[in-house]
Amino acid sequence: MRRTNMMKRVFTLAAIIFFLGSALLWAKGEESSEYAQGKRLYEEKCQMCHGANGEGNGPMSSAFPKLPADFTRPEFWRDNPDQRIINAVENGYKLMPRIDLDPNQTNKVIDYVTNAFKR
Amino acid sequence: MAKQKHLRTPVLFILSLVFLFILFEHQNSYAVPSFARQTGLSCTACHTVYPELNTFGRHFKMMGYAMSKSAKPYEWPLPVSAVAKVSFSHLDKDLPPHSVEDTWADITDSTKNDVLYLPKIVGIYYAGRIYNGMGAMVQGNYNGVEDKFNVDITDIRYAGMTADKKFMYGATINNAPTLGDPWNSTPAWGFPYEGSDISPTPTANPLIEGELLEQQVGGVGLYGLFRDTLYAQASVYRSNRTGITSPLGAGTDTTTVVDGAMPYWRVALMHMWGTQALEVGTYGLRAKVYPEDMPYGDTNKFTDTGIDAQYQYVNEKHAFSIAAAWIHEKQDWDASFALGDTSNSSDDLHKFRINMNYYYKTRIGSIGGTLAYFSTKGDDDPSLYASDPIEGSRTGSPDSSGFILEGDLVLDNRHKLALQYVAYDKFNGSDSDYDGFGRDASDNNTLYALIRLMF
Repeated sequence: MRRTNMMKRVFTLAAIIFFLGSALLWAKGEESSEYAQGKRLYEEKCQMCHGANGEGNGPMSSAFPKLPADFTRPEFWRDNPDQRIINAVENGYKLMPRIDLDPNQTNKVIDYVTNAFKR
Repeated sequence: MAKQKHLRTPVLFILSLVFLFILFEHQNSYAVPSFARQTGLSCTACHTVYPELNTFGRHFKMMGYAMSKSAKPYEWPLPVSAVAKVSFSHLDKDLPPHSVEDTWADITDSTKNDVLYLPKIVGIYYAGRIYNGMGAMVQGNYNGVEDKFNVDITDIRYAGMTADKKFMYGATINNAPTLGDPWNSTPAWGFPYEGSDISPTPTANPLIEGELLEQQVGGVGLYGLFRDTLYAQASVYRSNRTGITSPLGAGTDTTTVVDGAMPYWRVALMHMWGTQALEVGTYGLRAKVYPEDMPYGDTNKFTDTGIDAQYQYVNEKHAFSIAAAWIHEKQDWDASFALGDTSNSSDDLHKFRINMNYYYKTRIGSIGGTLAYFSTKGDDDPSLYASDPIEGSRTGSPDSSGFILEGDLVLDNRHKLALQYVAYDKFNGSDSDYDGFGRDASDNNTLYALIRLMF
């Protein structure tokens, strides 16, 4: 009887560990995937102007009279930067064209830019 | 046998489309595909709806079509795209027999006032960077209307910027005045962007407007943009009939033969703020042109001066623009008056046009349209505008006016379906019996449908 209870406890504990571990791994995998998606979108849609390191020095940057935004500068991250990025992506701003991203994709790019370049 | 030939051409055309589709479809889908592949941006980065440019599109053009996502100084694969167009025209009243060219392209399903062009055009573009700051937009066509191959739009340019970034400069080689202009209020890129090839059009048009000089001349120009505000261009053109510029008119008969050098100038003030842009400018040319079919002896002189403006507002869902132009042409008929082809030794001609476009962006593409008004007025000249079936004038007046209404659906950012109606309230001087042969202005009202596929 005692042995049966012990087996139940061990089994329950193993199950909890398994499910918690899976959930944690899944969450981590999802996070990694979202980050990867944001990175991929940034590389496809933003990097040509804003540069691989977010410093506003991509291959097309030299063609503009003012360099594209430098995401590594602390000044960029003042005054509601997320909303400014959303506005620029959705509507364009002066010489920056509007970019074909849906709101979900825009958020992934913002997450990537924030995590990768904000100092 | 004849029926087999009728069937063979549409089948070949459809097979060609399938081939182009297979060749290009696996690549990213963009409106002017090679430009878009080069930049990594979609067509809406440069256009509201092709060919109207937005702020970034104008900058891309002024920078020589050379901006690229690649750090290499060249593009590989080569920036090549293809276009295919099918059109259908319906006139309110029949045209006389043989007024529509009897080519294989129009015999598939055509009557005297319904004409289907299958294809209207199949074209190949080189559109993108050549090397470093040098790029080009060059189109070669098979023209189904005229059943021949020709060089169409040609704009090869080099651009750069000073170290302080205050001055952008460039040089262009192209084959029509205003073709190199970045705004859509000048003739080469102004509305209507497409139109019927069979419907009669008013006889009088300033030289700089319309198709009178397209591929007829070739030239070189210098341009500059100071502080994103002041744009100026100066070009000089010569006839493509013979000589160094003749490749720029390859496949096109030179019917407007210009004598010597033809200067063209352009100045514009522009301003952009947020998602809006405004331009106000002026342009013009002076040309010495031989009378038609007589490329020797004395010439007629034309001095064109235009004033134009464009306002544009573009955001996530909406694109609105309004463009207007007024052109005055001074016509000195030194040659034609002596030949008795004109009643006056000189005439004045004025053209005004204005168009408003609105497009709404949906998940499947952009939907919208354009409303336009046009008016041509000038001196009466009974010899120049003589009575003649369809293209003549009973009154000797060049005055014409009307409206254009066009609806567009742009799918997948590049394939365009357009339905256009042109309504005349005055044609070659009057609204009824304008040609002296019983044709009314409204008889030339035209319904035009276009399918344009880009790969």
